[in-house]
Amino acid sequence: MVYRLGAFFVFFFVLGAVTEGIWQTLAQNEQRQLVEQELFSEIEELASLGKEKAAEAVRGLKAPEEGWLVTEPSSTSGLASLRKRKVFAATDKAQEGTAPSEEIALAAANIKSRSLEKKLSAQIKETEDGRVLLSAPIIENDQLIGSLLLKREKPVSSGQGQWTWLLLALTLGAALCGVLGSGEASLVRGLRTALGALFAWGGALYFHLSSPSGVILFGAVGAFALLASFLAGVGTLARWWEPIRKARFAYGYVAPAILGMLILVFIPFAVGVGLSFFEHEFGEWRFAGLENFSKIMFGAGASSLTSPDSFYYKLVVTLLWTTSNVFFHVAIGLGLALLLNQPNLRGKAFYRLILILPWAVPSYITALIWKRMFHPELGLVNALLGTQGMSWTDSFWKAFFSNLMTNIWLGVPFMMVVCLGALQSIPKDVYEAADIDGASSWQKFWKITVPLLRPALLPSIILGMIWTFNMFNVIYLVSEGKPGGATDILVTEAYRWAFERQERGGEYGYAAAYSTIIFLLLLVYSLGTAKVTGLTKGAQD
Amino acid sequence: MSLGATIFSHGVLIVACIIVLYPILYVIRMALSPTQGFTLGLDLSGDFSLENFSDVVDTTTQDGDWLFGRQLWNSLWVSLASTLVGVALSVSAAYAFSRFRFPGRKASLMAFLVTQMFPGTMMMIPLYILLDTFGLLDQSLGLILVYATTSLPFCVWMLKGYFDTIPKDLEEAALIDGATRFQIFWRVILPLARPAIAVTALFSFMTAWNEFVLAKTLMSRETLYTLPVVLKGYVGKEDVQWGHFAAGAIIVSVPVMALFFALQRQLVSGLTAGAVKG
Repeated sequence: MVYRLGAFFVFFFVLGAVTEGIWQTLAQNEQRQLVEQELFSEIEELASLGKEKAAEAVRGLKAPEEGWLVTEPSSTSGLASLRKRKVFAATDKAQEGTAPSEEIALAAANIKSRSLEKKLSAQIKETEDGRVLLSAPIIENDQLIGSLLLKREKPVSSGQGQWTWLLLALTLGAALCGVLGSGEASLVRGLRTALGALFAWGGALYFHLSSPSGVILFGAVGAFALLASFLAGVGTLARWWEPIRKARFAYGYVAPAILGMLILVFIPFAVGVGLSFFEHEFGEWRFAGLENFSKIMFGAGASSLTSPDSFYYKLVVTLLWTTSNVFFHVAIGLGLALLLNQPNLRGKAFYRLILILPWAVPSYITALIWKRMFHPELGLVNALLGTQGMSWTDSFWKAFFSNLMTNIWLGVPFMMVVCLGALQSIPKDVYEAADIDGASSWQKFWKITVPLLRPALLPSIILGMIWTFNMFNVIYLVSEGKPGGATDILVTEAYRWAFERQERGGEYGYAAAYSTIIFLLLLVYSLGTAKVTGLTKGAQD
Repeated sequence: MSLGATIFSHGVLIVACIIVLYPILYVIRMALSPTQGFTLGLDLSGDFSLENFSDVVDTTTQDGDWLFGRQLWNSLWVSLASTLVGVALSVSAAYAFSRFRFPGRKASLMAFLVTQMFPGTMMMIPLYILLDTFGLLDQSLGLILVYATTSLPFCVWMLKGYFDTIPKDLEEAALIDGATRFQIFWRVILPLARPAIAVTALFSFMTAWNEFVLAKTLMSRETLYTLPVVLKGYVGKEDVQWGHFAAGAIIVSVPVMALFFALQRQLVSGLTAGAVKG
């Protein structure tokens, strides 16, 4: 009895607190946006003043002056320096006189909020030798800006909100009357419990009537709470709870792992999928529904199969990439494994040691080394073939081949090891029986080895296909997608949309939609072949 | 085995070994040459020097502190910590999946499997935002948590497969003798699972040690970089310092290769244990 009481108490308490928390965050964001708009217009004004001062300083200076910090230009391309580059570009244009000073202000202001404070207080420009001077702030002393920044940091929380969950906990008594009253689960008890919940949530709703989003939020959560308490009263929840209570030890073992996965994998994934329904432009997100998806699948360049920009072109290239890689990985890996599996072969351990090496080398290092080996003048491949000066990135098939060669080098060891293990698990008697019956090596291979290998190999093949489908490093680093994006596969294309096509500050929404489609393709494929590969068997037993 | 078969086998294997070794020797040659890599092929004439190695190792920060040592420590610390956390999480989870039946078991296993299919590019931005919200950017803790959860699915599936092969009678006998579940887990199962755990640990360590995209995105100061990020720094768009890059590549790859060779037998058996069952 006490147990059930406690459970209800905790449930409503947590529900109320969480809802209130969400509500506070939403309200604060609204406030923050209003403040930021005021901030931008203030900065615009000051930026025009500041531009003149900055131009003066650049004309007169050869060395840094007191009050100026010097930093080296960064050649790495993380998200941070992508933002920096935007501001540089806008500042350059302003100095040439080809862009109004508002652009500097807007470029600076549209950077994501964490660096907004830093960037706002600095004027940025480059000296002739490419170093960057950050000036002492000329706008930090402006009082209006200062107060706006403060207001932005500490938005006012919306009134009586904090009493809401307290109210919930207190009025819980009414709901509990329903639960404590009779021991029997029944419709009447369900209604009584629901009534108590209604009372509690009605109160919460009352305090948030002033804003439409508040009504929606608390109304929705309230309806859910109502349903939950009704079900609890009626006894449905008890039936669901029993097996969970029985297995509570198991949950102790899996909880940390599942919690970790939830927070660091599933939630980012959900956010990623969610982003695909938005359009991103310089820090602003606009809800776009299915627009991104329709642009990808039915948009302007999409229908033409021969245009490298089309999604379907990339899909075909990706499929070609995946199947050819897996084919060679399995063929070569299996071949090598068969050779190594011969009982009387000497130096087996030595060969195996060497042939495993590529697996230990990080894939980006491999990609860069092979890219170097395909260099037109200085590369090894051209030296061996006698085709010096021939570029490996000017035609689709040559670029594709260079990628393929690199990935084969990279991926064969894994497949070889799996095949070796699988081969060793085939009992020898089967072969002996076949020998007695006079089977040839060819027959033995196709009728015995392959069928017996299949169950062991298929999961690894499926895994390999998924990894190859998403293999970013090799394509991005070896052929770089040349010529003209033709050898880009779906993942590299998604990456480029997010981090390289910066005309609108990064097409994060579009890239997210791309990635979601990739995921769906893989999911459908895996589920479709699950029966054949026994993929889900491991979960079954 | 006939002579023909022997010659053929050795021949093919030797060719394969040459194809495997050549790029690696090429890297070693580039690392040992004093120029920034205008060597065509495996040119054994010309100078040998350890200059590149000393250049890479002797980098300092603006304040004159030893930078490379700091970055090496970052890589070591992040890889070891994420391996520990990842293995601890996956061992307990795999044991539960293997031995217990509970609501949500099948769903969780399938969910773990499905996460393998998420394209990495998709996760970068949400992860960046998430860690930013918790103030974990530019902190090794953030990177450690992300790495630990990245290798979880594979490790859980592999360990579960291995646990499935351990007969239940052992635990049942211990249960009858009055041991608690936890004691069984700690004293009986874990020692038996050592080879599989070694493989899992190696895989997690390798993943963390070699990872560079997330490390570059989530860390912005050079004192926080891990070695792969440092390495990528030597390869700019136009200006590639091949000698330094090659030296760095060797430094980065050697620990992993050493671990690899030390544990290769367990690696092979650990991989195939799951494969044969699944």
